[in-house]
Amino acid sequence: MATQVMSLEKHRRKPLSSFILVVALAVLAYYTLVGIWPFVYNIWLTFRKTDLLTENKWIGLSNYAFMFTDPIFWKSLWHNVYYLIVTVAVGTVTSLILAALIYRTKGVARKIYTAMFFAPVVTSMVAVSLVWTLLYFPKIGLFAQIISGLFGVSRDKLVFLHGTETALLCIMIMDIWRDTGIRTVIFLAGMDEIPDSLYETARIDGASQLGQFFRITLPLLTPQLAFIAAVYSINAIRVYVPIYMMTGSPPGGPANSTMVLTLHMYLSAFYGQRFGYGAAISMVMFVILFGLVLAEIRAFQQRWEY
Amino acid sequence: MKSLRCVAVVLLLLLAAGVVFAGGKQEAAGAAGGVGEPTTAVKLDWWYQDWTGGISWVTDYLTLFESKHPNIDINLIPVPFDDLFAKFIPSIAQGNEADILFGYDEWLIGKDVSKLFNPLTPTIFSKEEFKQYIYEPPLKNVTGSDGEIYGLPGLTGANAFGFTYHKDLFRQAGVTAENVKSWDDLKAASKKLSVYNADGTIKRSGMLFTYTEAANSLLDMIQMQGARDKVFNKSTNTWNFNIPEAKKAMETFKWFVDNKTYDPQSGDPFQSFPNQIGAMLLIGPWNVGGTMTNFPELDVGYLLMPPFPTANDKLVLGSVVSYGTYFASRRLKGDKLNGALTMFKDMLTNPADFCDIPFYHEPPYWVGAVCFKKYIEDLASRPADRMNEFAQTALTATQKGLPAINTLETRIAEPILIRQVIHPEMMNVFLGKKSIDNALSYMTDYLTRQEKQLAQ
Repeated sequence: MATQVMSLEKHRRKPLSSFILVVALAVLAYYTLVGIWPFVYNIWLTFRKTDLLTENKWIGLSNYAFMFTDPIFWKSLWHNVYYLIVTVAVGTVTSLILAALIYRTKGVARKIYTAMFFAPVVTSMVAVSLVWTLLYFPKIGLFAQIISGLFGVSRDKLVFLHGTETALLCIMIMDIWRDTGIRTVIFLAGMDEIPDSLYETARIDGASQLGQFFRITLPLLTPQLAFIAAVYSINAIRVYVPIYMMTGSPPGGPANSTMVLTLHMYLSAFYGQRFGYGAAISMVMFVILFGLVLAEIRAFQQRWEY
Repeated sequence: MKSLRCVAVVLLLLLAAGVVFAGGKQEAAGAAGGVGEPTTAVKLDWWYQDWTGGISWVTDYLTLFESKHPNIDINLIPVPFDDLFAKFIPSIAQGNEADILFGYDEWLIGKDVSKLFNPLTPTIFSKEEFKQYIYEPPLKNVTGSDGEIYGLPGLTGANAFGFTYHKDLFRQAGVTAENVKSWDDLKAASKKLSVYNADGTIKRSGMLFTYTEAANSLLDMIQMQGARDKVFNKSTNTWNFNIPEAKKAMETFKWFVDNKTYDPQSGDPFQSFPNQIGAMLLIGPWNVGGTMTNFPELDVGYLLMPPFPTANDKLVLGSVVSYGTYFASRRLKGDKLNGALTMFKDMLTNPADFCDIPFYHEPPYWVGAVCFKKYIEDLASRPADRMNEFAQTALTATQKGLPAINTLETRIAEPILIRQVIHPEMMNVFLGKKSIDNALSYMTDYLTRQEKQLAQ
């Protein structure tokens, strides 16, 4: 009887195990098809000269050799690093200040302020980029008129997206503005977790508002700071949409002043029909992003104790 | 059971025979040197570059064509230029391209088109007959390794054939377009047309340069000075801009900046020109139709590019040129192929049905140089009362422009050559970031390295 029961149990388990195996295999197959296989194929492409159609030649490390001596590649990489430093630093600081101010409000007012700053986050980046391109119209656009009127700056100097020094900065300002809301919300959530007793104790000990912020709020927001820094660093390396939408004519802005890695990769592959070279650029981006993700994982694993 | 099996086998064999012989018959009819009208109703998808005038033009043509060929239904699919460019080759590689494709022949440089598309010869006509309908230079990039023709070049792309201009601004400034025949005339006109703010900054440029055409024109100017073989050596895959001719060409452009008749930071010229922030725009004649379709209140005309001031005053255009070309997908067979080829044959044998549409619409859908030889012969013989300004511009652009085309045989794709390298360096010079010599050296080094890598 016991043997029969065990045999029945085994029989019942078999279909369940098979079902799990089939599902797992299906997931693995899907991941292999859309994740692993394209990655492996991409690596293979980096060693070839191909237009995907009529030419497919092994050229070894020639694509990498060209890339490391390509001034446009180095310029693109520098622009990405510059983008990372400015958007992460300025974006984090502005969101932190905003969160600290909104944190002091209560009830409906807090909800209204949060919604106001969050609204651009849910707007399409393409739409935002197009609108800001019009606002940035050189010399006669809305921003030019406002800045000229308020600060007396000559309109001839207000070239925004058409100046080699200002084009990328203008795009960064737009990008920081757009994502301020979500960073603020993340910081607000972190601030809500900080116990009020710590602030009470600090007040009793005579700490000023600024002292409380730097000695209590900021250290306890370290996980949020690490998260935002990591995520927006990755975004800065991968940035494409605002660059293409706002300085797509010509692509990469005046004198390649907004050329970034993703755009250089896209132009080389799809416009230049050098898919091997585009793949090589993407591999460099992968290495950089992988490093950033590792840093992010370390930041999460780190314990923040004060 | 056995008898049922036998019947099933016989039926299968009959079906297979029917498919083989029926399909073969249709293909044989196609291959015999004539295009057959489809015997069944066919629907064909056609990817076409999405520009307002172009879509309207082809829609009007298809209405006429389909009324003559009721078995053929063509579904026009507008695709923005950048998307079309990006997916043209990958879609053919994937086998999911449209049945009929519009593209630019320079996207096919260095490729064997016999592997990409269905041949038009000897199906529609023989090669020799085909060349009686289409000018020969545009057929270069669409001729396969087997010598057959795989595309129908219809019109030229965005090349530096001349300048669009605002007629009212010309009138206000007292400039007569017909008198602008040389680069000195252009410079003088641009000075008269420029308007300045109280502080001396440019309010309206007399001249605007687009990024593609300015770079194209730089190469054309170098060629016009007889330095074609000096600037690019195909056998050694080397570029050399460190030559006096290149410096002179760059200095010509810089003159407009230095003399404050061109503001390189006045915005996207495709927005600045319609808003009359510039009086003239270096661009292909297509811009006339494009501007007037999108801004019907404007009245623009076209000036053909004058020759660069040299001893022989020879006009050279199209150092980097592209022809808008029509292709039939290599996947097409049978009646669908016949449908596509019937349309191509109709364009060739009745070119006025196709080409008159853009020039005679109010406002014109498009103006430019066309590749249809018979149509140009027809235009040239039309009485004056049947010609309008835009048909005349097309005639002039074709008769003077097409023979002047002398393409540099580089392997570097136009977007990289022009948009990533040459024009950015021109901007560096215009904005004073680099000297002309430094810019020309950079162009020489970068393009030579890329040319050599592509020659591997």
